[in-house]
Amino acid sequence: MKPLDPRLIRRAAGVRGLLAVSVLLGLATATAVVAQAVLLAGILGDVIVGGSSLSKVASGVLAVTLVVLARAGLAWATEELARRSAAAVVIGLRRDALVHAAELGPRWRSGAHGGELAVLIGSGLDSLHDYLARYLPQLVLATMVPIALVVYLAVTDLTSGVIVALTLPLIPVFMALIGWYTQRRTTAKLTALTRLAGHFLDVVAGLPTLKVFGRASVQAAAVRRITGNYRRATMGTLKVAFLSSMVLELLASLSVALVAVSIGLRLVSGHLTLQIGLTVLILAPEAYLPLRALGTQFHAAADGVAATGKVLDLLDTPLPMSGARTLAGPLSLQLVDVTIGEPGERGTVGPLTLTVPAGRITVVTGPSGVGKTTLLAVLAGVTRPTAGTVTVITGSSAVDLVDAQMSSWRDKLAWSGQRPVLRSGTIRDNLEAPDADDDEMYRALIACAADDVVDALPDGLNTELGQDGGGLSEGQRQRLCLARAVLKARTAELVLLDEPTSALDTTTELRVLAGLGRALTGRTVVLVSHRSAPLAIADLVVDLQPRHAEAVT
Amino acid sequence: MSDHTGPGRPDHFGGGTKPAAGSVIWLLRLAVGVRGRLLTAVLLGSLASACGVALMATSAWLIARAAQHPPVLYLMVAIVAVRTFGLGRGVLRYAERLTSHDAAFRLLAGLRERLIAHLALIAPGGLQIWRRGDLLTRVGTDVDDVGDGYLRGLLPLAVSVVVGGGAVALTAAILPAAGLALAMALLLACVLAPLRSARHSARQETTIVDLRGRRGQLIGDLLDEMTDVTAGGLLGARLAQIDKLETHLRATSARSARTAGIASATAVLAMGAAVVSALLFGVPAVRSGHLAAVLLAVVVLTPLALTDTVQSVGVAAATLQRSAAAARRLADVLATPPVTTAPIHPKPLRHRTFGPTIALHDVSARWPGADHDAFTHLDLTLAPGKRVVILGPSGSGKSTLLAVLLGFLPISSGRITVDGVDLGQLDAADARTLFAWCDQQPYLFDSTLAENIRLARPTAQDAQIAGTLESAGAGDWLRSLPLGLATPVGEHGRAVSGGQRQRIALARAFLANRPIVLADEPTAHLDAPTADAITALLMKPDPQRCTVLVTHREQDADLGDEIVRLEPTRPAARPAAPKAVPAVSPSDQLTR
Repeated sequence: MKPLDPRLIRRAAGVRGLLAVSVLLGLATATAVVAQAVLLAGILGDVIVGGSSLSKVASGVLAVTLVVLARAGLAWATEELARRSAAAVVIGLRRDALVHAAELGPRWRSGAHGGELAVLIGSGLDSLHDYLARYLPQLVLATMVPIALVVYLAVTDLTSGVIVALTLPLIPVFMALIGWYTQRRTTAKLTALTRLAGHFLDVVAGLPTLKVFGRASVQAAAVRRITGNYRRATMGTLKVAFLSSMVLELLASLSVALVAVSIGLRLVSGHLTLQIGLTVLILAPEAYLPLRALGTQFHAAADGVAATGKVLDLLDTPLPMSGARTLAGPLSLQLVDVTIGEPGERGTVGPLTLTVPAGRITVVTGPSGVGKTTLLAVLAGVTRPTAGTVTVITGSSAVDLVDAQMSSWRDKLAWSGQRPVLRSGTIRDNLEAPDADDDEMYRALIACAADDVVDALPDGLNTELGQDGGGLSEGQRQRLCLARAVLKARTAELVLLDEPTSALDTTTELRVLAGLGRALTGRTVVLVSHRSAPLAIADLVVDLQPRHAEAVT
Repeated sequence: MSDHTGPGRPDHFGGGTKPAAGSVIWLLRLAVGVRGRLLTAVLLGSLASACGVALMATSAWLIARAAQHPPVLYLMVAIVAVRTFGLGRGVLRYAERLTSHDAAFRLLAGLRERLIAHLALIAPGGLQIWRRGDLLTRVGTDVDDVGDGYLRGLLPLAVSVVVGGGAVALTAAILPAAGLALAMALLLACVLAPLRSARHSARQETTIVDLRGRRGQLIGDLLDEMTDVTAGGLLGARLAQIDKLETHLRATSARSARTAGIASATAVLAMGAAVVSALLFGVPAVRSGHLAAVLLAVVVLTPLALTDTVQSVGVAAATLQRSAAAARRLADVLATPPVTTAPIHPKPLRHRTFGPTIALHDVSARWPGADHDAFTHLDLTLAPGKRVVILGPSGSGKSTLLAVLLGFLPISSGRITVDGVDLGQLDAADARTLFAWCDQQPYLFDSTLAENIRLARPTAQDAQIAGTLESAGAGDWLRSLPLGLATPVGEHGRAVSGGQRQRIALARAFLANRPIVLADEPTAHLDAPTADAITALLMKPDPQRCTVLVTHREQDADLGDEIVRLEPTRPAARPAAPKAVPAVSPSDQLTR
């Protein structure tokens, strides 16, 4: 495991501040540790050998008290500052990762397993918090305190200094060796964890199906088997990983024992004063303490580092280039030989050649699997064609979609996908039109036959929907999403509708289509459907067939 | 917050004033199966920590005694002891870690298994309140947090009690006043400070776990729906929702950082005070001859050796707090009752060569938490060879009817009988063997095409599976796949199109070969010719089989022997909206 990924320092400015503060606090801590040892040893030496009274050592006791207060302050600062900066760093990275994952498009995401991505960006990044808040400051302490103490010990008592100086470097060496060995396994553990989560989720989501076919009861056994494998794999890793902490503990306490015995023997022969002997005895374990604390954080940190590596990989995945061209006015589209997917890849679509005229409703039909949905994703710019061009024509100018600025292009889009997508919040929130008044909203709702859906809800537009629009039927959710697209279409030039009536009965479908036809007049509309009813509002019908596309008027 | 305190959520521990105590008891009860391993781990851990303290105490005595220049022989025992303690700590700690981790993993395996078994019992009716992303966080984080509760919570606490107690006893034997001071310092550092911080962080940690759960849910949903969200320009609003949670989380984390900082400082102060007290009591005692000078070093330096132990208590208390919150949430899931009640003495399903007759008399049903029935007063008879078409607009309870037949939902009134026996008196799993099911959005598992179909009949051979795909109209598609039946369908079946998904589900239903086929809008995502073909296949007359087709395609009515038309029900308290289908009296809702 790399203790600190340099990419992390580059990505997250907060990490640099955290490191700087940790170095300062580490220096102060080392100083306080030495001061406390010297003061205590001085007092004990005076009393045990010199027979001093309490009043004679009173100033020393007072100084010890002050050092203790300083150490308490440092402990508080280390804990609080580290945690605060860690939280900020993690939040920033999570947001960046989500935005990046959005821009990378559906093809990349389906390759990257959505469930694993959710674990990685969710709880995976939480383990980075522990790494930053606990491991990183401890790493700084573990680098600075031992070096400072070894220097001080060597100056005070060369023999003890040498013992500590010889054993201390063995610890990082052993840890590096064992860490190098366990790195692969730690990565494997994260994979096992995500697979475990993915499997559990898959089973839970499919439980109704499993129950119907009498397979639910065997799932507990499957989960037990997978968890059992996970335990065996992890225990295998831990047997080795814990060796590193055993070496650490062993070296730390053995060398303290060696130092103590050596001091004892030299004291007997009178080569050392008690004060120096005690100073060394107090300081010797302190030299190992930060390293040992680092060892106990190692595993949480390893998870954090493995997850961070994956997130940084995600952030380093190059985004499709966004151009700079902005577009205005009614637009038409020209697709030439557009292909999505590499040759031989499953689910390849195209080549598609078709024209979408400005201000008209183009209905795209074709057998399922021909790529109607992918076509819409290409037009929306979320999927980039692997070959061919999409040209956007506004007025007299023609711009390749690749050269268009993606954010401004999305502003020009109204979209309603195959699955109705709602979030928790009110109906009003979900219509995503903060500038629209109730009348405008109702006009859009009426156009999509969704006004009665809203009227039937207890608080109308202000009704809180649960996550995923819970409580509404598929058809009702579909109509609300259509209304959202209609509201967006007030300012958008291109309206993309994917199977807008798939969950509606015939009567409602006709009402919705008639409403859409009226509401979207003058907009460039691409409506994908396999149903026949939408053909009624089509200005142009494009029938996509596998391997070629032909336009039928 | 509202979705977590809703009426559907049982408050397992009640009161809520001391949820941690209840959860700790829950944790202890969960550990009964591995208590031998855990107790061994406590013993090993205590010995390891004791070695550390003893190393410092013996070394202090050795050095102080050596300063008096005794013959080396007098020091031999101490020298051997110092070396032994130096060796013992590392070895014992290693043994303790392996033992405790093994115990925790075993325990978690049992917990995961119990969770899935219970979820299997309450799905899908009871699952409505446990959203998907939330469950993901639950198993990913909560189960791990529970494991941490033992490894980094209860175990170090137990070890600290043993070692701290031992150190106090040792110090008190040498100098009672210093022993008392050490006891008080330990009480402050290991009991009062963690308790204070526990009280402060109880709500914080619960909030953090809750917020993380909700955030996980938002992230899971967002990634699922990312294409629509990006294309629809909804990303900003979604990120804002997550940001709102993060801001809340960050504020809570900052408060818990303060709490942790104070606890950490208190521990350092308390142990420092123990050292200073040992000096204040010890120095005069040496002067007055009540304390041997060499033992002063032992009394003063022993508290320093307890630094490890004290630090571990603070971390352990915080960890336990977090685990208690996680444990409570898991206990909530495990305490969610199924929406249907199983009969105490289920009657056996009569095996017969001919399919059963299922009769519905005046049946109404509703989803848990809903304020009105999804359909009401339904009469229907399902008999072998019969083909029933259920028509109705969205929201008229068509799918609910199927859920009732499948035993996912209880009926709110009326009666359902299978060959004259009450459906409620049959074992639900038994009764389900009568039905094959073709869902509106069929679920595909992240496995191969073959396995997704084979789950309907685990003994089926590949040829048989290919045959059912052929009869489901997917023969050409199957032949076009380079990997054939071994083709992975991807997570949630993302690698196959909507139409192919439906055909796979149909193949599944055909393969199951059960007397009654329930098809819930099987053609919603198919092109018209295929939809017609599939529907015709499904509704092909078969004297052995009864088929129930839920559809909104009017033309499908021609294929049924019996047509049931359902109308949307409305809550009585709310008048129908002007543009809605005219409200009808309950008895009119069903027309044949």
